[in-house]
Parts: sequence; structure tokens; C-alpha cells
Amino acid sequence: MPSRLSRNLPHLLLAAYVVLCLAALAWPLYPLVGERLTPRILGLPPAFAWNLAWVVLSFFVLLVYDRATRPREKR
Amino acid sequence: MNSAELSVLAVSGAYLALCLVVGLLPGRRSSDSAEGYVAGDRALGGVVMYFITGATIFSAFAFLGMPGWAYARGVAACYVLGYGALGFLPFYFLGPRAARVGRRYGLVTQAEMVARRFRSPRIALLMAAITVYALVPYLALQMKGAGVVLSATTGGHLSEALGSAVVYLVVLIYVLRSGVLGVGWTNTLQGILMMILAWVFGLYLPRVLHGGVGAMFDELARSHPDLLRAPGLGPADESTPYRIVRSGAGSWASYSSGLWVSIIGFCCWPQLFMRAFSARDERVIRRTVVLYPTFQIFLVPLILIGFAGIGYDHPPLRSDQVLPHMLMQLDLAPVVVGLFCAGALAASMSSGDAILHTAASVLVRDGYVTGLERPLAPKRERSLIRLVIVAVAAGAYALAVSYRGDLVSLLLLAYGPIAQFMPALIATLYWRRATEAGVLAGLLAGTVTSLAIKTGLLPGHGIHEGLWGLAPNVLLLVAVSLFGPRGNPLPEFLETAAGGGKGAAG
Repeated sequence: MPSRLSRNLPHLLLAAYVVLCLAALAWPLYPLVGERLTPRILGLPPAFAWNLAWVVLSFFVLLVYDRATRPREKR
Repeated sequence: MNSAELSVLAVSGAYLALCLVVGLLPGRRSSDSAEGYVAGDRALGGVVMYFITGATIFSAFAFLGMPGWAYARGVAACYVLGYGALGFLPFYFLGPRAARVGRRYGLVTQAEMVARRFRSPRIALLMAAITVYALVPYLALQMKGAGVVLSATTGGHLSEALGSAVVYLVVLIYVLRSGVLGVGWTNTLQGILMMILAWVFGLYLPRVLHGGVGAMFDELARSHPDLLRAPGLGPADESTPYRIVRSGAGSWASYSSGLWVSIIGFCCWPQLFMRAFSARDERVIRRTVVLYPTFQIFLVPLILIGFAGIGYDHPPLRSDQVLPHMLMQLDLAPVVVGLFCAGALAASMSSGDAILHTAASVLVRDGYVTGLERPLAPKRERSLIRLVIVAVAAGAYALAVSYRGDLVSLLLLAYGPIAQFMPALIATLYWRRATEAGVLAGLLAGTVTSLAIKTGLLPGHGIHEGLWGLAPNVLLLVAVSLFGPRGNPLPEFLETAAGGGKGAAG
């Protein structure tokens, strides 16, 4: 039988990701990246690429979270 | 009208006819009840749900406003990408719970859901009033957008008022006939068209004007570096819809609070939240949330289009005209301009139809049936919703063609109040101690505070008014629920929401 910690681990990791994402997309982390003009990533300026990267990352994080929590619901 | 303008009109007309056919097709597939008309008999599958949620959000403002935003304010436009990364996440948790209580109690709107938990018609009336206040100017803006596009691409031969009327007559016909299924099927067609056209123009324009995306940003870094630095530039004047203030002291507070409020309030928009009651099952809801960020990618080419217009030899009169302006100047084949016109109409219609359908459903279900406690037979209710759809469309059209003030400002007054729904939604679906008095006190305090700041009665210090409103909202919701009157909440509601209780859907 899984422990309470391992049962709640996906939820805790998602909560940590949300906090990190909120900070990364606004103050205090976004200014560190967004105010620069270089490096160019896939031709895009850092502010643009940064926001786009968090959209893509959010998709994968949600996908993993969904997979990790789904079997438990079925049981 | 010359042959090029006639070709543009012909392509747009063909597209409208296609929308009408697609919108009318599902007309006979839902039951003859309000539940069938408003929630599609709770049978929407994954593909339709994906497009109905995505296309509902990406309105005429996205198709015309996003390029304009990038054109005038640079990377401030990326703000929309940012809030989309997390904006739909709360729905992953709230949506399935709402779907369960929806099935159990026959609910089809969010206000109805909150009102049922606390057995409170007053909550339904308050939420319905805020919702309709928010949605009617929103619908008027979509109508105006459709008229502007048709008028611009036919060289002014078709007036804005006539253009709006023709497009929304088509919308009215399929919404009246097919309800949410008509909205869903046309949104799927419109979503695919918007995505294709956005990418075609988003890659074509930077290439033809600057030699490619990388070369374009190299050029902009030299000529307009401020446009590439976050948080970007602020609004040129008070009437523009943008929240981000000019770089400098306080700008990050404004940007960050605006972004956080957008994330909190995103799924509170009723035309989005109500999809929880339309979905076939909980998997469809969760999968839609997981896939939602992929719809955000559609915004990337629209932002690129705006950047491509910077430094253009013949600047547009208004920033939100940058895309049609460039297309008209580039001597493109009329069919291509016609396709753009169809894409812009798709953006307007895919939001407008859902808003129209939602506003009428809310007025009847929340305002009349729940708020005024006037129960109706299913067929009667469906007929009344159809009647109200016509009335709402007429009201929004009158607003679109006659209102001389700034519609966007009117719409923005509603953003703060809509975000105030979130604490009430969470309390309704999760918190056992929550009470009617607590929810009402929180909603009222939050709405009044955000409106007072937005209209300048109270200082906001550069922080988004919605965030200020959430502070008294949450405080009063908790305090009044804990120490105020207990009320008479519905037993088993929370058990049903959590997946237990009678009739819960699995």
C-alpha cells in the first residue's frame, strides 16, 4: 500500500510547478530573462521564447500529471 | 465594387454559407429540452470540446488585436501566451466536480450550481447580472469586429453595420436551430481555419517583409530594442485595453498582478465554465485542459504578424488594423484576402456564437428560473432561451452600431468582477463550511472593490483591480462563513462533487 507521501507526490509536484510557473511568467523571475535582447532562441527574442517555453512545458507537466493520477482514480 | 472586392466578398460569402450548413447539421441531434439545447445533453466529445473551448477564447480581438498589440507594444503581447500556460488549470479540478453535480442536479450554468449548493436565488441573480453585464459588450465587440473586416476588405462598399448584421444573422440562425451543438460544430471548423490561416500569414509576412523570423528580430533589436524587452510598452492612452504600463518603476507590479488575475479568472468566464456541463465525461474535461496549451501556440504567428508590421513603410491608422492593412497593401490575390477575411470572421463568430448562447442561457436559467424562482417546463424553457437569444443579439447589435463610447473600456470594467467568481466556485465545490452569506458577502465586496478601483474611486497603485478585489472577497467569504449565519446548504452536494453520493457520474 503506497504511503501518504507517495500518494500525494504528483499533487505536491504540480503545486510546486504552479508556484514556479507563476514566478517565472511574472515578477520575480521573468525580469531576469525578459529584459535581455540576447540570446536569440529559434530566432525569437528571450522574452518571447521564455513565454512560449512555459506554455510548452505546462503542456508536458499537465500530461505527466494526468497520466500519474489517472490509474489511482480508476481503482 | 471592382472585381477584386467582389472576389473577396464571394470567398467570405462562401465561408458564411459553409458555417451555416455546418451549424445547422446537428440541429436534430439533441433532445427537445433546455438541457439538450444548453448542454448538448452532456454528450460533447473530445474534439468538439477542444475546439469549443479554444475557439471561444480566441475572438476577433485575438485575430486582429494580438498583431496590433505586438505592433504597438512589442513583447507585452506575450502576456497572453503567459497566462494561457496556467489559465485553464483550475478547470482540471473544478470541471469534473461541476460535471458530477451538473448530472446529479440537472445544472447547466455555473451560477445555477453555486445557487443550488446554498439554495440561494440571490446568488444566482447576482452572478447572472455580472455575467450578462460582462457578455453583452463582449458580443457587441465581436459584431463590430466582423463589420470592420468586411467593410475594410470591400473598400467600404459594405458598411460596418450591414457587415455585422449579415454575419450575425448567420450566427443567429444556427445558434437558434442547433444550440450548443451548432456552436461546437462550427467552432471546430472555425478553429481549424483560424489555425491554418494564422500560421500561413504568420510565416509569410515576416518572410516577405524582413527575410524571415530571425532576420526580422535581428532588425528589430537594432531599430526598436524597447519593443523586445519585457514587460514591453504600455498603452498609448487611457482608452486602450492594455494593462501593462510603460517600462519603469511599478511596471512589473502591474504586469505581474494583471497576469495572475488573468490566470485566476480565466476559467470563470461562463461561456468556458459551462462546458463542464456539456462534456460527455470527466476524461473529456481533463483531456481538454491538458491539450489547451496547444491552442495557445496559435497565438505565436499572430504575434509574429504584429512584429512584421513594425517599420512598415505605410503604417496603419490604428494598431489593430495592422494585419488587414498589410494584406491590402501587399497586392495579394483577392482569394488570399478573402481567406483572411474568412479567418477573421471565424474568430469573431466562434466567440460570438458561444457568448450569445451563454448570455441567453444565463438570463433564463439563472435570472428567471433560479433567481426569480419561476420553474418552466423543458420545452417552454428552450423556447424562452431562443427568444432571449434574439433579444440579446438585437441588444448587442444596437450597442455595436450606436454606442459612441469605447466598448473595450466597457468590457474591461467586467474583467475584475468576473475574476471574483473564483473563490465562490472553489468554496462551492470544495469547502464544507462555506455558507450563502459568506459567498454573497465575498462576491459583493470583491466586485464593488474592483469596480471602485477600475473607475478611479479608490487608488490601485498600479496593481490590477481584480487582485485588490480578491482580498476582501476571500477574507469575507471565510470570515462570514465561519462566524455568520449557517444558512441551509444542500446535503450531499459535496459528496456528489467528490464522486460519492447518489447519482454521481464516474
